[in-house]
Amino acid sequence: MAHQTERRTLQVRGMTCASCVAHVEQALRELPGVSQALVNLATGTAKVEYDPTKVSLEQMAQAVQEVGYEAVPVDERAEALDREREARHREIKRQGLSLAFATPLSVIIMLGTFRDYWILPYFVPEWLGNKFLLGLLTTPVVFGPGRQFFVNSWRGLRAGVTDMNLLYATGIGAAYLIAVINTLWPTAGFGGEGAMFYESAALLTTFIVLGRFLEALTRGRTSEAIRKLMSLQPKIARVLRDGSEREIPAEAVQVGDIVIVRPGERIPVDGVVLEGYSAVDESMVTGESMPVEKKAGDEVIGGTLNKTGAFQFRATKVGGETALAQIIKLVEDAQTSKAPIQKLADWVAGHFILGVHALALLVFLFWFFAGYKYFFDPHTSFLLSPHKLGEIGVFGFSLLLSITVLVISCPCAVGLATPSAMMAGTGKAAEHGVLFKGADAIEAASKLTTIVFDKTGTLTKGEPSVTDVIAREGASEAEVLRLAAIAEKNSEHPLGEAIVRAAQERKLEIVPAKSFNAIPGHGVEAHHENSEILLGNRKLMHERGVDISALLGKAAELESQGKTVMFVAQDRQALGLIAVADTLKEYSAEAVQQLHRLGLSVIMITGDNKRTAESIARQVGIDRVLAEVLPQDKAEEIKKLQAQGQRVAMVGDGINDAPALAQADVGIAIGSGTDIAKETGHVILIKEDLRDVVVALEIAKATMRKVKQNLFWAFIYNVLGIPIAAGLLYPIAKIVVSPELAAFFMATSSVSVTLNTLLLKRFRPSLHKMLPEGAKQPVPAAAPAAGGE
Amino acid sequence: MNEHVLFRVSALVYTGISLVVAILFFVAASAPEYSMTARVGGAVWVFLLSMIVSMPIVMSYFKRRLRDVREDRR
Repeated sequence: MAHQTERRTLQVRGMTCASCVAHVEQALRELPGVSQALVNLATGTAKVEYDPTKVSLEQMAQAVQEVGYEAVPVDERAEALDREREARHREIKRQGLSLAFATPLSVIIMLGTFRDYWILPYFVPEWLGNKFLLGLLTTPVVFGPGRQFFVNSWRGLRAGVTDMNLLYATGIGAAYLIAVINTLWPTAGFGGEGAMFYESAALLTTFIVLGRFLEALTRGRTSEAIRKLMSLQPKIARVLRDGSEREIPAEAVQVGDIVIVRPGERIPVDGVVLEGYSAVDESMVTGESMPVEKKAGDEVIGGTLNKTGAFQFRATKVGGETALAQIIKLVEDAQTSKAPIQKLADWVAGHFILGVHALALLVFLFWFFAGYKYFFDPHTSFLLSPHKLGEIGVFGFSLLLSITVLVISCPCAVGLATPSAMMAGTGKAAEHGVLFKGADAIEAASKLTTIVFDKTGTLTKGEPSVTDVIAREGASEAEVLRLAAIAEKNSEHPLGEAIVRAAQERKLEIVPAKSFNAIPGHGVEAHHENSEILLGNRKLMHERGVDISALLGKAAELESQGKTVMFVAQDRQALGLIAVADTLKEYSAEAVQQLHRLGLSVIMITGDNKRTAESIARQVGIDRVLAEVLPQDKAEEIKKLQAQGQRVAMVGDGINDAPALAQADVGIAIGSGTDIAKETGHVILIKEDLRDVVVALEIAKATMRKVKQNLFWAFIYNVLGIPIAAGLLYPIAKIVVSPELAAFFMATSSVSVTLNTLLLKRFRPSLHKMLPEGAKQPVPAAAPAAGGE
Repeated sequence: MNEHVLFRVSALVYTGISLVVAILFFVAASAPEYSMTARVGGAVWVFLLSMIVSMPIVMSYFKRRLRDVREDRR
């Protein structure tokens, strides 16, 4: 029986770290019928693939709830964004209020605790150091703002999972409990009045809440790219219905509707222009900085901005089918997907919590049975604190170090390190018209060594164009082209069409020939104003007795460049020749040059003969050519390169090159326009500008740099902090890290990561750095100019 | 074995393990230099940490077993 699989997104609340991600994923994957579950901490979402006959969304939400989190299914993207924003605002408000409550109290508690030190006795009243008052002030901090850690860790424990909340809860709880015992029963052996940890409990809570607050503030900023794209969608469309103009909601536009767009308005859906003329700013969707001219027959993209004129178009794609909707979906999918490096980080973080508790147990046992006896010094002080431990007993001291290990080990920033950078990277790429289909594509793109370009339609325009017009003495180039165009006016041959197009571009007058005769394998003959026009190859000219000897030298030279040469004769007199070839796209040569600059090996692959292929490769600056490769064998060639240890990207048109794109480490499909959903490949370039390959690689490298920096910032505090917190330096330095300082380090870790990620927003690809913003002008490639100019 | 039983059995196992570790600690700390408060407090802390460490290990072990049993039945 065939099982239908559905994909849905759940909004998950209450996740704070990478181990939460692992728990939610595990809870979902363990449900029968769930084939895949991918959780993104940065967006607070879980994408699930499931069989609806076996499991329902409610069951999934229930499973997530059982491990201590809250999950709600997301229906529409716009609603999801609103809800995500709402949830984030609620979280900011909640943590902000907690912080506002905890901070002044913690400062007062700290002043009271340390009132005997430094200059504090001069202005802190004695009563503020009263242990009962300190206990009274600490209690609402621990059970108010700190309550969330106890509640969340209890929920998790009930389901058998341990998370970061548990680290905090044990840390805060133990510090508070010891302080209470020492207040009520100072001789109970827990360190007495020298071990009043009220300030530890209060400051620990405050710093953790501060970390949460800053995280909530910065987390949403990385998903701005999607929000920006969503905001492009106009709410209202003006359509022609029953002969009159009506304003309707944009989502109510149907395929086939005639839509009217005035200057300054956004285009509501995708379509084809019927009448009118305008320039449209497509930069927000395609990254193209120059306005694009639109006339009858041209495609328009929903969400782009009409600049100058008014026009009407027929809607061809609406709702989720529009290019904008597909782009949003792709960016969302990419942001939810996981890079291999993130999977590793999540795994490490997921198992870290357990390891940390085991380590805390070992630290406690060591200091209880051996460390205290051999190394303890009553003059021990806390790092960066005037507070001394004094009369603390063996249990209090061992417990203190054990708690500090728990707090300092918290891998809170690890969960954000990779997804936040990936979100910023994919968003930045989308701004430039580059769509990564997944985080794995970004990681793979950052490690490439070789770029393979398909020739036809990728490096070249994929259709023949007139490249040279040569006239004999006494004739003009315009006349040669005009006569050739007259002869080919009714031809459907691609070479004939190229000649007619070239003549039209030069605004030459092309009247229909009186008669037209195609001579297969030779060329054409036509009659015009009582003269005979011949257009064709050498064979045709020889057969008709036309002397072309004066043109043969030039013809051979052009043919050596891979061009097709056609001779033009009038009344058996050779007038000149026309060369036709597939021409390079505008920026092909520049893109190849930039890729060489990045140290990449660039290869061209084509089914064409070697001579033509080498000619194009020379023009574009490629030094290695794989010619005469059949389309089905292109993937095999990619495989061979990979077997040589190369990490290969294939750049192609996405449809014909699908197997090679799939085989490559990174498949880059170019120039999809509005047909984004049809594209294969891991990266999609919306424009036909090959320089976007360079943009894609630069963004991928910048993103991975950020990921590595973030992981460094996330782990460095743990790596350096754990041994110090465990007392490794204690026998020499006689200082210990207080739990509140450990919490401060952890908060700094999260903030370092989020701030570092935000720096990616300032990244500009090198091509854009070279040109001032808004002044990106086309740079001609080394393609031969049409018409021999 | 259903999930309810699984939770009960695993709770019994990890609580048992933690109790044994805590008792061992209590016995090991019987030297005169340790006050009763230190012994009891230490045993409680050891019990708590042992619970936290053993709970997910034991539960995932039993969950795996339950899954295997269900798959075998299918």
